[in-house]
Amino acid sequence: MKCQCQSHRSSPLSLRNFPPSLSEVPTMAAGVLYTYPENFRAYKALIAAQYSGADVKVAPNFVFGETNKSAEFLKKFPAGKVPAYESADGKVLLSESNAIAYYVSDAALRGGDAATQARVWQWASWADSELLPASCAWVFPYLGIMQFNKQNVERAKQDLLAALKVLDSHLLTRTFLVTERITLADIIVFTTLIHAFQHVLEPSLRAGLGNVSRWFGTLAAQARVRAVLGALALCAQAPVYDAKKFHDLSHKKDSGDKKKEKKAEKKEQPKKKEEPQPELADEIDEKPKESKDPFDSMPKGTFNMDDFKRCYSNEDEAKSIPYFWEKFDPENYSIWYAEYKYPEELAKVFMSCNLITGMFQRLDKMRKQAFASVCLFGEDNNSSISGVWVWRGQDLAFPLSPDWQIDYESYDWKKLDPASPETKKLVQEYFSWSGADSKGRKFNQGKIFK
Amino acid sequence: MSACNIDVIKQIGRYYNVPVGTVCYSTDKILTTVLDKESIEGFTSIVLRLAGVNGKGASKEQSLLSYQWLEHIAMYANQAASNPAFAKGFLQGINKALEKNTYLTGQYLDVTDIAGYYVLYPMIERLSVSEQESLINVCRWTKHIQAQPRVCSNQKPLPLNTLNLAILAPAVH
Repeated sequence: MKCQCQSHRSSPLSLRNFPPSLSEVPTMAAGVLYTYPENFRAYKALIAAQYSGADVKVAPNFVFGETNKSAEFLKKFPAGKVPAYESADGKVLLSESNAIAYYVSDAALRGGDAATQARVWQWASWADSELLPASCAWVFPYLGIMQFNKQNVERAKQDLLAALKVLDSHLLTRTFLVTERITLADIIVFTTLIHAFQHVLEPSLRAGLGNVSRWFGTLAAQARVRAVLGALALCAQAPVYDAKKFHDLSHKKDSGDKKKEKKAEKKEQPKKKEEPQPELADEIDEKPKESKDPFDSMPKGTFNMDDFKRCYSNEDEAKSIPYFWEKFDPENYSIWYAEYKYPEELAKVFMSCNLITGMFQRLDKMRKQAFASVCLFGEDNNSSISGVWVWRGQDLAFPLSPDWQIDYESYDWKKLDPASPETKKLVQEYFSWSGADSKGRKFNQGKIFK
Repeated sequence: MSACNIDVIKQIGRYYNVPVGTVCYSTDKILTTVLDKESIEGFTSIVLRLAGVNGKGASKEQSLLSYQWLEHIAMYANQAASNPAFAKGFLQGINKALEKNTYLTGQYLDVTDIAGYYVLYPMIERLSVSEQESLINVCRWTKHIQAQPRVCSNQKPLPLNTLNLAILAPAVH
């Protein structure tokens, strides 16, 4: 303190030179957010707070359907809806996620001038009116939250894809929605699209929305967004309706008759706001958490991966490949052929190699019980990636751990019959880095996962 | 005419607000400077060194990607600067890379984009409107990079006509 006073005395101008950002500090929003976990609406405020530095904490011990129905809660938030926000001094009480996100933002997120702010508003309203209803009506049936009606789902799909086309052409010439940095508009539209990207926008649909996908990926990768969301797993293949799941979920919560009523009501009104999500949160919670080494649960068999790798590293292929066939244990291990699904997207050779080594890095924990030789064929702008993999177990190993699921969906996987001569030939070619791909492109580079 | 030249190094130094030393060409015509009594040779090495002071914390993958792009640019940009036909192919390669990526190395702005912007500046400047249109991803990236703080402290941002068109006829929503 003393130090500050002195500086004032010595240069009275310094007060006037205070950067405006400092003057905002006292008004910075500190408060509590009431929400159930993994609520995309609450993400808006939580991400905005990461950018603005506002101190927003999620209320601990919140129980959906109880806390927000309690007299105390309803006194503050008569609608009983979440997310709801209460400032630290209790003076600011807000519901509606966009308003909360606006409140905990700073000037940079809200937009500098009135025109920019208005554009941010425009996108927020657009997300609520054009994206959200269609997204819910498309996604929820696949999550078992809503009854599946083919016609409705198809219409919702067309509606959302039409809206995304508009967004895609907007983003052709822009990095972010409104300005050259992330604003509240990006945060709101992004969070509104999370469900669609996770559950229904399969790779082929995303490919037709290149600009939206690029923008979505950049937002998802930002450190401040990841701090809230963690790593997002995107939809890998066209969703399949599971009638049993819907049946189970809609009966699980039937204990309270009041809830049942609401459930029925919800079927007619996909837009209905808060009720669907808790099941969704349940859904996500039910997924298995990361285990230590998923291969531990499988029989070891007679094939020693380490010994083979040592042999492969130290000996010529003329020796190591026969060694592989001599020791290979088809009971407990399997051989797979993987081909990259989107060869037309491969440009520079070094980028393609990064794709392969990047995948290897992300699969680090799989190394102990797996081996692969993945090769790049062709040259710049005309190439393909494929490889031969060996691992413990008879099924595709990647679903065993959430850490392994980032890349494998970009490949077509084919299990090989260890006894067939074709497999022998493939193993020979890939392990010794020779041969060509199906289109006759020559071997360019190989990478070994060991 | 050289694209990865002394001026670019000085601009990057200004961007990061770090000294660049006495930049000159060695007898082998290699860009050289001396920083902290250590001689540094080559465009990529100098650029990474300048960014290194501020670019700490980048993952290994990220720094290797930077390295590769900078080497790619260092290898081809000089020829592209003097040969418009070669420049076309060079820029198209970058355009393709930026179709699915916001920044050269992926999702994060780093020294690669800053250096790339300064190196590509004269090549983009001489493009016609229709050529710009065919390199729309490069143009979007350029517009974004030059809007970042401190990038245009010493030169005017490039006018990008194709983007103006998009602003005059914005998407309907």
